[in-house]
Amino acid sequence: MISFFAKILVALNSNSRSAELSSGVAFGFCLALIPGGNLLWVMIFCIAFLLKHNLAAMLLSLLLLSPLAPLLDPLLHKTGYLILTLPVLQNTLAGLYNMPVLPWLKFNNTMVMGSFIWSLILWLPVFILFQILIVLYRNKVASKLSESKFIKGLKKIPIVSKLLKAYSKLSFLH
Amino acid sequence: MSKAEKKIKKAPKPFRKKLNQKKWNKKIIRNIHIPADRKWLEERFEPVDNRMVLKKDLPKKDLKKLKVLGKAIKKNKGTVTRWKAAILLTIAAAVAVFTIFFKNMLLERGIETGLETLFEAYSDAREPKISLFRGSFTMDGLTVQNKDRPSRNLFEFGNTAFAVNMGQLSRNRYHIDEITLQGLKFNSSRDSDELPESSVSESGESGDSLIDLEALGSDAAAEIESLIEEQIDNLQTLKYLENANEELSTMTDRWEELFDESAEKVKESAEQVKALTDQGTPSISSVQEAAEAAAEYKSAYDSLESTKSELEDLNSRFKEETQQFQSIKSEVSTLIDEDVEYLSSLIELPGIGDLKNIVSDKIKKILMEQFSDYYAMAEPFLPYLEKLRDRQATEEKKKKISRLQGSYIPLESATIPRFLISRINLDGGDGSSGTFEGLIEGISSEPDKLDQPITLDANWIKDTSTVALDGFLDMREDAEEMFLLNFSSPGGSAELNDGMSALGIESARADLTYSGTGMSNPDGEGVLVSLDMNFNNAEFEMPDDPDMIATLISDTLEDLQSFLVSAEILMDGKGIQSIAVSTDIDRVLQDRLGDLIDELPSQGADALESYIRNMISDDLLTSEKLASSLDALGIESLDQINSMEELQAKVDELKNQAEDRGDAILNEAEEKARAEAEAAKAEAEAKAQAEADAAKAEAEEKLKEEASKIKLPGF
Repeated sequence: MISFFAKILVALNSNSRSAELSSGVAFGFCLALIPGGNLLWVMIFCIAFLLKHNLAAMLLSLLLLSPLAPLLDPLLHKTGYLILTLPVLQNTLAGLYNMPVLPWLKFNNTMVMGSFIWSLILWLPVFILFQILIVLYRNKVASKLSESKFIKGLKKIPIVSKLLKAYSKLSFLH
Repeated sequence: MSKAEKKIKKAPKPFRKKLNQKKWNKKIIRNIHIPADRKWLEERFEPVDNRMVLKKDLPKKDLKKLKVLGKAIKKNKGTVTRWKAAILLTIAAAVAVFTIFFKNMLLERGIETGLETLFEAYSDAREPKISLFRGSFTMDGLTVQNKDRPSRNLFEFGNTAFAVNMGQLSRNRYHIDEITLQGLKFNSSRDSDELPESSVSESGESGDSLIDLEALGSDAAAEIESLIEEQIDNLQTLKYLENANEELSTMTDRWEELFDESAEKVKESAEQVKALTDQGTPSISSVQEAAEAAAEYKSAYDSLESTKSELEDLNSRFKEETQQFQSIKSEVSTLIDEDVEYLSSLIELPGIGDLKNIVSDKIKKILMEQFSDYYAMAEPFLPYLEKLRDRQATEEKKKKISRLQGSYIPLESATIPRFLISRINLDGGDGSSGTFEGLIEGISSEPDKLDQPITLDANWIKDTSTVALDGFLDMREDAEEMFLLNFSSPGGSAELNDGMSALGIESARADLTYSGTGMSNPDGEGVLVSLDMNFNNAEFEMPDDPDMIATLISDTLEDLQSFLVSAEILMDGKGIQSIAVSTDIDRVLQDRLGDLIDELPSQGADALESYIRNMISDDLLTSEKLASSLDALGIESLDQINSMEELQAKVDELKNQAEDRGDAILNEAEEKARAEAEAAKAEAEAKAQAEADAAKAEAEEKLKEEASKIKLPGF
C-alpha cells in the first residue's frame, strides 16, 4: 500500500504524463463500478493493463472505490434495466446476444449494462477532473508544499519518512 | 573535438538532436510535465540557426538531470507499454501450452479433487480426455468410494462420452447433444469381481421378486420372545428351578458321601464274610467245638445285622428326605401353567377383529420395507445434496453481501436455454439387482424455453422379469402435471421361501403382474404412487401336519386363482408418509376362517409354553439329572441292604452248619448214653431181678423155715 502511494507520489512529482495518472484513476473507477465475473470486466482490465498509464493509480482507485461501488448498485441496476428494456434497442441487443463471444460479456444483466453505461459516461469526466487536479497540483501546490514548514515537520514522522524512503528509491526518474 | 562538444555527446539522445522550435516543443518540452523542469530545460537550450541546441559548458550536475529528464521523455512516448503486452502474451502462451499438454492430467486431478471434496472419500477418474477445440469429453470410468463403508463404492460408471456444442458455447450456452453413460452401478464392491451387495439381501429377504412375502407371520414369535425377555424376572418357574436345583445338588452331594461311607462298611463286611466262607466249616468233633463255631458265626451275623440295620435306617432317612423332591416335576408343570397364564394376560393375542386385514397389513409392511429400501439406496447421496445446496446458498449469500446481482433480461430472440442436455443414454446395474437401460431427454435449466418436458424411458431387467418405466418431469410454469411416471411388470413372481410361521405355511409363491403410476401429490407436496398387484396361481407348501388355519388359507387362495391388491403410497423428501393397501382377499379369508381364529389365543398360549419350556430346558435337565442321581443313590442303598442280607444268609448258613454239627454230635452222644444206660439198666434190672428172685427164694426159704418153727395157736 505504501509502495502504491509512493509510486503515485513519484508519478505526481515526476515528469510522467498527467494523462497517465488520470486515465489510471478513470480505469480503476470503471473496474470498480463494473461487477466482476464476466468477460467485459476482464476485457477492460486487459485494455487498461496494456495502455500506458499509471498502474498504481489504477489499482489504488480500484481498491478504494470497490467498497463504495455497492452504494451505486441501485442506480446501476435501474439504468441497466432501462437500457435493456428499451424497445428500440431490443433487436440490436438480441442480435448482439446471438453473436459468438458477446454473450460472455453478460451485457443482458442489468448491473453489467448499467455499470458499463455509467463507466462510459463517467470515464471522461473523471479523467478530466484528475487531469485538472494534477496540473493544478504540479503548477501551484507541489513547489509550495515542498517548501512549507508543515511538510518539513511531516517528513520527521516515521511513517512519512518510510514513505519518503520508498519515494527516494523510485525517484531516479526525477 | 572540443571539450564542450564532448559534453554534449554525453547528454541523452533526445537532447543531442538539433530540432527546430516547433519540433523541439513537441518532442521535448511537451513531454516534460513539471513546470519547473520545463523552465530549467528551456534555460539549458539556445537557438542556433533556428534550431534549439543544448548549451555548451553545462556542469556535471546539469548533465545528470538531463539524463533523468531524457528517460522521462522516453517513457512518456507512445500509448501502449510493450513490456506489459509481452507479459500478457507470455502468460497467455504459458497457459495455452500448459493446458494443451497437461489438460488431461489437470482434468483428472480436478475431477478427483472436486469429487473427493464433495464426497469426502477416495475418487478415481480413469483416463479423462478433453478436446478444447471440439468440446468433447471422454472418460473410461469413474468410481467414488463410500466414506461410511470404505469397502464399497458410493457409485461408479464406465465409459462416458459427451460433446459440448461449441457454437452454443461461444454464445455462453452449454448445450450437450448426447451423453452416454455406461455401466452405472450403486453400492458396488471396491473389488470389481465381487457381486454388489443389494439392499434386499442386506435385510435378509429373497431378492428375486419385487414383492416379497417373507415378513408374513414372523411377528407373533418375535412378540412372544420379546415379552418373555421383558418378564423374565417375574417368571416363577425359573426362580423355583434355580432354588430347587441348588438344594438338590447339596442333598445329592451329602448323600453321595453317606452312601460312600456305608459302601465301605458293606465292603468290610463282605470281606469278613468272604474270609469266613473261605475258611469253610471247621472239623467239629465235639459239641463244645460246635458251640464255639456257632458262637463265632453268630457274632459275625450280629455284626452284619447291625450294619444292615444301619443301612436300613440310612435308607429310611434317605427316602424321607428325598420324598419332598419327588414333587419337583409336578411343581414345575404347575408353575409353567401359572407363568403361561400370567404371560397370556399380558399378551394381546389376535382376535378375529385383529386379523381382518391380515393380507393387506402384511403387504403394507412389505411395501413399506421395499420403498424404504429405495430410500436407503438414495440416502447416502442426500447429505451430499444438502452440502451442495448449503455451499450454493453460502456462495449466493456472499454474492448478495458484496454486490447487487442484478437481473438477466431475457432478450426476445434468446429463446434457447442456457443449459441443455438433449439426450442421456445410460445403462448399468449388475447380475444381482438386475440391469437397466434408459433414455432421458430434454434436461434444461430453463424448461420454459423447451416444447417438451424432461422425459424418461427405461427398462429394468432381472432374470425373466422386466419392469418398464416411462414418464416425464415438467418444470414449466404452465405445466398441467409436474411429474408422472408409469411403470409396469408384465410377468414376474412373488416368492416366500421361509414360510409364514404364524399361519403355519412353509413357503408360498404366486405369479405377479403389477403396474402403477407415480405422480405429484395433488393435495400437497411429495409424490403419490398408485400400485395394482395382480397375484395369480398361488401355490403353498404346507408342513406334514398343517393346522386348520394354514389349510384354510392355502385352500382359499388356491381356489381363488387370482386376487388383486391395490396400494397408494405417499412419499416426500422426508420419506414415506403413508401407505394404504386394499384387497378383497381379507374379507374372503375372514369369512372362511370363521371360528378358527378364536382358537388362536390357545395357540398363542401353546407357543408361550413352548418358549418357556425351551428357555428352562437346561434347568429342567439339571433337575432331572439330579433326581436321577438321587434315584441311583436309593437303588445303591437298597443294593447295599440286599448285599448285607446275602452276607447274613451266608453267615447264617455257616452257623446252621455248625449248630447242626453240634446237634448231631450231641444226639450221637445221647443215643450212646441212652443205649449204655438202657443196657446198664437192663443189666441192673436183670441183676436186681436175679438178686430179688434169689432173695425172695431165700426169704421164702427162711420163712418157711421160720414158719415151720413157729405155729400160731388155732392153726
